[in-house]
Amino acid sequence: MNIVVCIKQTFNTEAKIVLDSNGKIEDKGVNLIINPYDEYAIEEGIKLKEKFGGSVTVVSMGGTTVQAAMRTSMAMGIDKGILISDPALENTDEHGRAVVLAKALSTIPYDIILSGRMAIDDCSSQLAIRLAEILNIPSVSSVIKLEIEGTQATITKEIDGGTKIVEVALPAVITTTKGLNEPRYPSVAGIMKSKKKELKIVTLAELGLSSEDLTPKMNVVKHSIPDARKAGQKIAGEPAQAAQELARLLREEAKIL
Amino acid sequence: MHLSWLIIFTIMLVIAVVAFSYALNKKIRILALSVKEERYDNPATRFKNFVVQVLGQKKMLNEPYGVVHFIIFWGFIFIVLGELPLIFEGLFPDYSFFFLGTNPYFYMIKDTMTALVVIGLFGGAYRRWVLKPVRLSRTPEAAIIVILVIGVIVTEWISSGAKVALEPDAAYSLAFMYHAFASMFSGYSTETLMAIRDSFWWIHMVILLGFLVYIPNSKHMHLLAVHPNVYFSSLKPIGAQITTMDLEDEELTELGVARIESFTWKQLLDSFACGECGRCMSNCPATLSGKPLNPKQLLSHELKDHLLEKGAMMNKYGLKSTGEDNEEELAKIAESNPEDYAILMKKLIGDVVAEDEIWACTTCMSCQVQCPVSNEHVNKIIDMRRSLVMMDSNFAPELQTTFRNVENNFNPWGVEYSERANWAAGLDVGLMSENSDVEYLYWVGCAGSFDARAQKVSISVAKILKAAGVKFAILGSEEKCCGDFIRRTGNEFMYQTMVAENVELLNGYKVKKIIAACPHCLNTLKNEYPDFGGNYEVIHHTQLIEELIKDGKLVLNTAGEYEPQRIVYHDSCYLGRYQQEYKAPRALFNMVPGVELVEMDRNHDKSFCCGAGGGRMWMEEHIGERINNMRVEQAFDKNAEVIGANCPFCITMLEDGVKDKTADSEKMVRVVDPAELIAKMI
Repeated sequence: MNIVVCIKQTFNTEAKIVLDSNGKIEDKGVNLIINPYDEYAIEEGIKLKEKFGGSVTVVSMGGTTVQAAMRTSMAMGIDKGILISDPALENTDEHGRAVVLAKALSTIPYDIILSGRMAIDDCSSQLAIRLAEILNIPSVSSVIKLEIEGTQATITKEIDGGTKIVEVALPAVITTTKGLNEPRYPSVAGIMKSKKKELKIVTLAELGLSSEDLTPKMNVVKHSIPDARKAGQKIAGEPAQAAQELARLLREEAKIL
Repeated sequence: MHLSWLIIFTIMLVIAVVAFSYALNKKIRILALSVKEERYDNPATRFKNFVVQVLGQKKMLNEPYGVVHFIIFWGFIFIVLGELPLIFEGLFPDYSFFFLGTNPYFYMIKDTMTALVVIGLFGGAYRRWVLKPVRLSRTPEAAIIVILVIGVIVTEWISSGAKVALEPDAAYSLAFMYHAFASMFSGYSTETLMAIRDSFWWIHMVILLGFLVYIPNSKHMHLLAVHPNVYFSSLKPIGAQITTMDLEDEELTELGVARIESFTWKQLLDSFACGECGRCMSNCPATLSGKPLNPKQLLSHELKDHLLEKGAMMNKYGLKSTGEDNEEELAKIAESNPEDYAILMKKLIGDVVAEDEIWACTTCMSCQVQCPVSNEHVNKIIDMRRSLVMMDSNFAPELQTTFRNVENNFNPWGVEYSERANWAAGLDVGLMSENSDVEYLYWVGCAGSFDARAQKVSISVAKILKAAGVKFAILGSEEKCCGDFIRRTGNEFMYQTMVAENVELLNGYKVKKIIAACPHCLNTLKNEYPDFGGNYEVIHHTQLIEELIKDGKLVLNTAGEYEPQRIVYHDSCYLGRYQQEYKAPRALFNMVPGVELVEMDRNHDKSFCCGAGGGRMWMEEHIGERINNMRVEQAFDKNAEVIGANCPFCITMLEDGVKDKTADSEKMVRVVDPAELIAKMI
């Protein structure tokens, strides 16, 4: 089975977001991790390989720092990687990236494409779906259970307030979420092996694309940081009085009553 | 000369020596399968340890029953010496053995010692089979040895008593046991006496030689293994005994120990040296709280039995290891002899030692500190953890979260790393990055930086240091986890990564002296960082504060009202057993007016772990009683209002235990660090 896992390197979940003087997100001194939802995709890819054989390829986009995330996925058990690295990727959006990714995937065989249901940084949940559209194959989102028999997949996905079971023919794009599996912690033996695995770096030109193909369909107007949370207030006194005071504050100061 | 006696005795002796050598050789060949380890340095220190611990029985005498062992040990030496004239004069009745055979004082001492040994053995037997302490096993092996030794002594008394009754000898004039038996035989005919003398001489020799053969074939191998074991015991401080792995080694295909032959010879010799006294288990927090780990059982049975069984099988097929390098050979054995193959393939982790056992250790080191034969239990557990973590990535999921937290934010809590110095806001504490020209680096540690409770101790320490005019600074967001728990949970790879980063930073600032408020940071910085080029003088905050007060640099304000309070003190493992620092924290508590400091039953080097060490802080405690709750109950027994501690992890564990064990939230016992009380007096 040819398994492809698309991952993104994101800010660490605890990272404090700061904007620079141009209003852009400051990435200096921020620790980078594999997007947590993508970890489920990596784990599932490795599990599928363990069950059906074949190989797992990790695909990502970005600069040299992304290699660390890809090596980590290889330490977990992924066989090889393709990194699309090009300055032009800076100035595009989900549409552009989906075009790039689709082009890169057209160069390799795939039976299933896995990716996290969203990236925790921009939370747009678009790329995998757009990719499926361009490749003209089905996609199923927020998957918590995946069973494959032959070229048919039986999938349990999360829906609002419940789950839904769908069947789909492979190849397909599957986006993964919490509950699908427990991503493994790479063993040191795995880390040692990962250093020798193949990681191919390709540019847009090598994929036969130009920056015009990446023309964004959307523009980011502004980033803003939420206001700092104000300190809590403790209301002293007898319960009855305190309740009255609380009601007064909610009405007069918070203005929500 | 009895020619026939000489011939028979020589045949018996040869058989016994051959049988003894055969059994011993078998064990040595099995030990030789293990990994090399350099333990030949500092012969003088090693010999001194041997004299103190073996000849002087120092640790043995830490407990009252050790006196019995002392007597038996020295009694044995006199029994062995006594055999020389006994054998010689039995075979050559016309001659006396050089010096010993003619010395009445020798016989007096020997009779005294052997009499004491018999009394001691009865005492020991009474304790083992009547009082039945949990830590002693009531096995046939234990009974056989008692009977054999008593047999050896009594048959000799009878034979020599008859000899004295036949013909008084000046050499035996002070041998009171000989005389006691001789007087029992008064009135016996010469023929009877000669028959008693000769027959018991032979019975004695049969038992003696049987004993010789029995030793290397039983748990009493202890008698032979203890001597090299103590001599080769680690000379490193107890906090520096975890081996540093060479992870750059390209040849390294196996990390940690997953097969018995991957232990070093010294690690395996430990199991032969074990005398099964059980001091380890009766001080082990894991054993006492009902976890599957029992250090005595681990060494003296699980590892030893498996080693003997598998080792013999490996030698049978001439296998040096049962790893991948011998795959073909093993496949052949699987084909031809599946039973042997099953023994060879028995898994050290899983079949012999359960995973839960390996994870139960809190690395409190009580087993090692109590062990009279200087065994090193904890290292073996860490080695097995290394295999589980680094080879199989097999460990508790909550530990995985913690590892990730350290990877991403350099602290086990996973709080954003740039907030590390937030606790110091408004305290005017300098950063090394701003000015590194200071006497001390204050290594705050992850707990002191991020844990709300431990932050209060950090604030107290900072205030005290400022009040005493100490020139110090902190690293702020540059500080990263010291790696203590990472190493102890077997993740040596990540530990070395953290250490390399920290050492680079510390050496970059030319740090020489470090204050640590966490005994875990203290230990690894002081005892383990030197292996990675980090050499610092590290001091615990309680030690420094005591010094500052002594030197008059910190003046305490004792005026004013102080409520009387009773504080029961808890020694942390990592400041107590690891650093042998018992005085400083106690001294600080005693400086606070109104404080009455009391001891728990388990104190100083027998202190009971809080349950957080060895990475247990970051793991769920699913099995048995909660260790922290047990410690809190031990504290409650002392009816104190406050528990005194010196380690952020102990404070967390004890406070959790107090909450768990107190029904009335108004009467909650407090847990405090002495720095918190001292800070109020400046």
